[in-house]
Amino acid sequence: MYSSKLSTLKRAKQGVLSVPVQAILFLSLGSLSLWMLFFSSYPATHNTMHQTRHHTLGVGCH
Amino acid sequence: MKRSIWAGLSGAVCLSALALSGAAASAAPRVELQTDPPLSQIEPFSEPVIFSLKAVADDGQPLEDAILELLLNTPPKTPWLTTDFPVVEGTMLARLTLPAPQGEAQFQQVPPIRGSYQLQVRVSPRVPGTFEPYTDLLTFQVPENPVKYRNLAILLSILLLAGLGGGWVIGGSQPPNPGEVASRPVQLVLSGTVLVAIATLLYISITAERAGAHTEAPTGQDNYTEPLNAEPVPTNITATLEDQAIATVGQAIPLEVELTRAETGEPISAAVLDINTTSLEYERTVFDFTAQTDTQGEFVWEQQFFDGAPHLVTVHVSPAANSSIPFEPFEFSQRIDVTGVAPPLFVRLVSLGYCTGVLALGTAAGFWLRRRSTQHAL
Ligand SMILES: [Zn+2]
Repeated sequence: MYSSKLSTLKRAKQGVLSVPVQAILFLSLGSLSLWMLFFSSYPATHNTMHQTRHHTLGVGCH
Repeated sequence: MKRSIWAGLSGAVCLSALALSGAAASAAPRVELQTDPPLSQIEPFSEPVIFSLKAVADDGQPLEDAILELLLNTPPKTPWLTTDFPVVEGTMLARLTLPAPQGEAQFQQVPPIRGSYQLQVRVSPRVPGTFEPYTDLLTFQVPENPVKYRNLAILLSILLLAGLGGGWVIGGSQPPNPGEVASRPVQLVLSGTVLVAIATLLYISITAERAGAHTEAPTGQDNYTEPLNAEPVPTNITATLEDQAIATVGQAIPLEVELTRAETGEPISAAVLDINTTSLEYERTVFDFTAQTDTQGEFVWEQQFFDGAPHLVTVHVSPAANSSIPFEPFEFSQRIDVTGVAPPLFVRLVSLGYCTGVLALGTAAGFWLRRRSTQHAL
């Protein structure tokens, strides 16, 4: 009982440290940061990034 | 192969036939367009451009005592490489009627975005029957702001470098042995932190989109105070400027100026109106033209406020040369707050896709480089 729980935990840790999971974590963080900086309507970031957004090709603002 | 040559030849013949008919059409009455600065030097969402129009008869002479009805449309939508005002793409920018006593009229406009604009001009005589009314469809191309190419290159370089770095680190982590996991708490803590960061960003983004899905409060923070007017409205004249809808980016709204004598309510016709729209955020003219009141003492036009910021519309009024009601020139203005509209989600997701793609490319390259270098080292 106890040992099976332990091995599940171990496998979970191994999974987290596997290359695909690490890559997905990295790309998700990068993509969401990009979203916040260049595409989100969240007022705080929108207002600070407004000029940059208007001056970068392919980035829509309003 | 032979077939394609023939197809090419007949295509060329068709093209030259088109060119010939074009030459024939240029003898018909038309409208000539000139801009200052020249089209190639225009930058979108920057300084106003002076558009000069000339209605010309088939013999090349300007048509006198004409009226020009203008309809200005923005370039079509470009969802795969959006402009910075996606909501403005493929919409009406302005519709107005300008007097052209010598066949010429001018207006100033800031073109908000790059692309091919359409200007439809209907030319008709002020006195019906003087000449046959006609319509000319003009197009003009506004180039993209060169700074945007530079900034995109910088952004993509940063993404590529960040990807290379990330891929390099991930590529360096050896596949963990079952017993080794406990000895790598740092990576686990890092992964946990990243997970928390992702959740936080996701939460903030979704909340923000829900709050501002359709409209956003104007972003422009200004300390605008009404300037002292050197030319106040005379007490015997009633002058009004009405915006007949809430100004929203992406939609042209009708506006109306009305001039009457205060005591009698009698309309003041043929008064000369210099109508100027200034962005209070950038303190520059975005739209300017000279028109005239009709026999009802009214002038109605449509215009789009393409930037979600406060604007000031100022009307400078002076009497016509042959005015039956003489008065001193005067000026009045009205502040118009414009509601901004967030770009469509699809357009933003497309661009995010491009950026994430470049980041992924960098990551793959970094990973491959690291693995190759470790294999060489072994
Ligand atoms: Zn914006």
